Amino acid sequence: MDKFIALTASGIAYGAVLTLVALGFLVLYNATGIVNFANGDLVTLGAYVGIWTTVDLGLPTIPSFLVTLALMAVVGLVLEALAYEPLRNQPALVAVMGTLAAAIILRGVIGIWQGSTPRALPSPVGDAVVHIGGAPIAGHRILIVVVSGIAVCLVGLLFTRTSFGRQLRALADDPTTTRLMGVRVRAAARISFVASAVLAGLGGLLIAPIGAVDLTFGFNLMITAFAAAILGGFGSLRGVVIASFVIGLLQALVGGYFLVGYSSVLGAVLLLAVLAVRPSGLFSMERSRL
Amino acid sequence: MSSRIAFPARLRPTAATAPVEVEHYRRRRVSLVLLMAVVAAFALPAMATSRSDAYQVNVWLLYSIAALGFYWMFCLGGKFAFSQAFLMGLGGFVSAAVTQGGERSFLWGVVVAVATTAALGAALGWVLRGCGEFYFALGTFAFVQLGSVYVQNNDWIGGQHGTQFGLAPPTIGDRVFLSDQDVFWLILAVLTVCMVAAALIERSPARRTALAARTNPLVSALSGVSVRTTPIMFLALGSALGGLSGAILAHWQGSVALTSYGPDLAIGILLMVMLGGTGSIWGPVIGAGVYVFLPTTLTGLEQYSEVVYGALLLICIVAAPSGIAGGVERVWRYLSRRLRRGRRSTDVAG
Amino acid sequence: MFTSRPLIAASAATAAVILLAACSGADGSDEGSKAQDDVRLAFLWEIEGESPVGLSDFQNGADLAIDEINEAGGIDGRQVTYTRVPASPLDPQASTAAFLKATNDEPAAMVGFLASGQAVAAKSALDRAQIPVIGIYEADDAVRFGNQGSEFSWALNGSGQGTSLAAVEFMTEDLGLTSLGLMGTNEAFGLGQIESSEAALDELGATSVGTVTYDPTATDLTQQVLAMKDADGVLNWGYPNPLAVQLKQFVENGLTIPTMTGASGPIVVNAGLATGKAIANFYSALPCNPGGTESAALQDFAAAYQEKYDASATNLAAQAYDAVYVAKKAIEEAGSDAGADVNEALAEISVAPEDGIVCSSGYQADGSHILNHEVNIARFHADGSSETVSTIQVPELPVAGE
Repeated sequence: MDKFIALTASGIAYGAVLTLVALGFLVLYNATGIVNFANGDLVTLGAYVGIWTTVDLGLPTIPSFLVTLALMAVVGLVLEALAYEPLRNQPALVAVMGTLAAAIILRGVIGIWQGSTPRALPSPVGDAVVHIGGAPIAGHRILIVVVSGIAVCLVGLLFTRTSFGRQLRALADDPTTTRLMGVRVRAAARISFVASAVLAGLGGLLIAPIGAVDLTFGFNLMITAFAAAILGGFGSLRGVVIASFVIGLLQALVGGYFLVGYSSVLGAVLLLAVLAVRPSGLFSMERSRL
Repeated sequence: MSSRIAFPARLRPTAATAPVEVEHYRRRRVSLVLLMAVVAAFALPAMATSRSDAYQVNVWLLYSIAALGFYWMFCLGGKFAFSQAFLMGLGGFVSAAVTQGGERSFLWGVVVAVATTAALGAALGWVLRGCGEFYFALGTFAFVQLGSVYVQNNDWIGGQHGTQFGLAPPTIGDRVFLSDQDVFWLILAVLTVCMVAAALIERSPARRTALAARTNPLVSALSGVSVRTTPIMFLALGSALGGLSGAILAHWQGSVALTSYGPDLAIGILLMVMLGGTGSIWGPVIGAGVYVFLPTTLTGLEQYSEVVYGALLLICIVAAPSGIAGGVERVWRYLSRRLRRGRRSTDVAG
Repeated sequence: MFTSRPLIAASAATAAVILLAACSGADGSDEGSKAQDDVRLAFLWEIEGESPVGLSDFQNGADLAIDEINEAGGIDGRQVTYTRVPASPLDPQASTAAFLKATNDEPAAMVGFLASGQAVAAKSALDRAQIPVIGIYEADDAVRFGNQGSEFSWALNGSGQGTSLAAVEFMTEDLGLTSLGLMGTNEAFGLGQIESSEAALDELGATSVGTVTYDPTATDLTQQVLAMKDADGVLNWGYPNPLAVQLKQFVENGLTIPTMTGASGPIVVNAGLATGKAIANFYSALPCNPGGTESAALQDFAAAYQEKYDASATNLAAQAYDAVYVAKKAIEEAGSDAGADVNEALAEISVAPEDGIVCSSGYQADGSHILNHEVNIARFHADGSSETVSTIQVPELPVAGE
């Protein structure tokens, strides 16, 4: 039983981080119609900025997190101005290539700044371990779930209670009409880039203390989060949250009991199976909205 | 519920994301390919004065074959597949398995590799037939993850945990292609054949059908165009070129390792086509050249080389969104227009 | 209408950058001052920032050796110069091109290739260039001479097989453990090391309680850690990041059994990826351990390195340092700068500490072209310090296939 609890907890924590990064994809895709290839490097950057503020500058946890997220917002704005705005009127794939070039620049800049040696970010809760039903659960994994839960609620409020949220939903539903109705597309794109970078940075901050950070840290997370966004249908907040947890739990439980060592490909198996029978994901855009 | 008509994903118009500048009837392509092949046959050996140049020219031409395959599946078939790099590697592994022990020849290995990768491309296209652009891309990425695990864990195909070595050099009849200079002729010949095929496809009804199917699937479907089988056909053809390129590369180098065909090369092949130009068969060749030679040019910048490489890519994408080939075409049109206007005004003045 | 302004601006920027690149290094490589009579070497590695895996340790260690050799009069009275060409361990095609570029300078020998896959991919290029390359990697089966290893490629560090054998021998004989668990990445490195560890366990009569693999980018190893609960000790063949995850999760799960790894160990400890209790029972099988050695020569190297670079010497820096001295001895013995002669000498020479090396008690090539046959076992302590607790001799390997 304690094995089941431990595996479930690890699956939930992984699902929580996936949700954050996948939401970054979702916000940006709905506002701009593009997938941001720099998302993985934004996750990496968030973790490195966190290390800089916490370890190098010695700031306490909360100010360090806030400074990191503020800097990530600025990076989001710069990314929009350099890699998206000049390509806004081009086909979406050209704009995607712009984000790919931005990813290479971002990785190069981090490399010059931080080097290639892996670095560690201490957890705000230290090495605390909580025992649930006899299973030891790292306090940091519980922190991940709590902080992600708060972030998802805030994103939900942003979507449903703000003018930006309404504009985003309108853009996702019918971009052409929304533009004709006078919605400021550039402003929506800017806010989306900021939100996406902040969410990616938060993902980086949360996952970094589990292991270590290097220049390729965010790439794998980006791909799995992308899978979660696609399984979720790219149009639904609820869909993305559910898909993220399905992937997390599938990897932890099926991987833990039956296919130890192959857990990382279980998400791929699920994705192929779902896309074969439901090409628009589990929660397709026709059926559900933000 | 949405009030607009909800088409199935595969029938939604994709013009907003289509990078192809549609030009429907293209002629005089084959003669241009042959002319360029002759120019390359004379110019490249003369320009590649050092061993490293000769080696990189071969890598460039082999990547061009794989990128041309990606051009078919992406620019004609409308399928954004991440599988091309893996299929290159798989081509090498299949050929290695077929030719192991020396009972079957290099040509046998290549033929089986091409057939296998074409069949896998078609199968992948069929399984993901209903998916939109990004969905399809990630579906193919998932396929690559599964394929890599299979290759790594099965000795018959993957050798020692994803490395096969001891492959015989490319041989046709009694002719053994041993040195980089020898292999250059083989690769150039293969690329020329592929480019001729590409030029023929450019002026064939198949291309027009593919463009129709990808730009407006609904109208195409109503007009009797098979919107499902056309992309699958181009996926199979494109994947076959991946397998072909990888098989030759493996025999040339005597080994094949899975690690050489990871996400970096997969994204690299996408870069080659987007950078070179999505509207012309020359785009993949130009893009592969930039991909192979640009980083070498920038190594003098040491730790700044990666940032500068990314910045140059961004500049190229912003300045020439239709790729270098598209940019050259625009400059050419612009200059010829100016030239004509100049002539007219001179005539009037005269 | 055609808008030419962005294109002109972009073209100007591109031209400027390429010109800058061309001017900053004549052929895109670093060079020491060169004279006609110099002995030329080439280094095949990246430095920090050139790629996500570029480290400057190799260059620093090699630079230190070159400075010392030149101060002491060079090789046979001739100064040593070098060219560094960045060879990416992540892209074998680009790496082979880098090797070929380095051959333009006709060096007497090259030092570099940091992954055996680079040497495997470059076999035919090495065969044709006839310049020996002393690689700083652990040789896997593919790169052994007789398989895909060129007659001109040499592995300084020893073999993966030897490292596994030494690690298992130490765990079973020195620590007296009988039930070991095996962990590793689910790709070539991890799977290869697990396979040779299983063979070593069989050979030494110990039992395996289970083998689990994981993705090299894993951030959660709950399932793998739980599978190790019945083991007396664990061998984990992984990269630093997942290794840190494993060590932390062992503490969370109350597991205090010893963990043994390879060259990732010092990175985990020196970079503080795992600290305190997590590394209190942590071992590493290494070719060299400058951080915790009783060898006076290695201590002197570490002190000189600290003075010159204001950084602690790593095993990677020490290996690059040794590789330069091995090349020096081979050139001296060959009495010639010709690559083929130096290669012949490499097959025959025996390099001892008095020749300047610091990592090993001696380098001598075996049939598989592996130079080192000694594995140091480093033990780490909770405060981050380390000590070399054992030095194990491993058997030489014949030509592969014989």
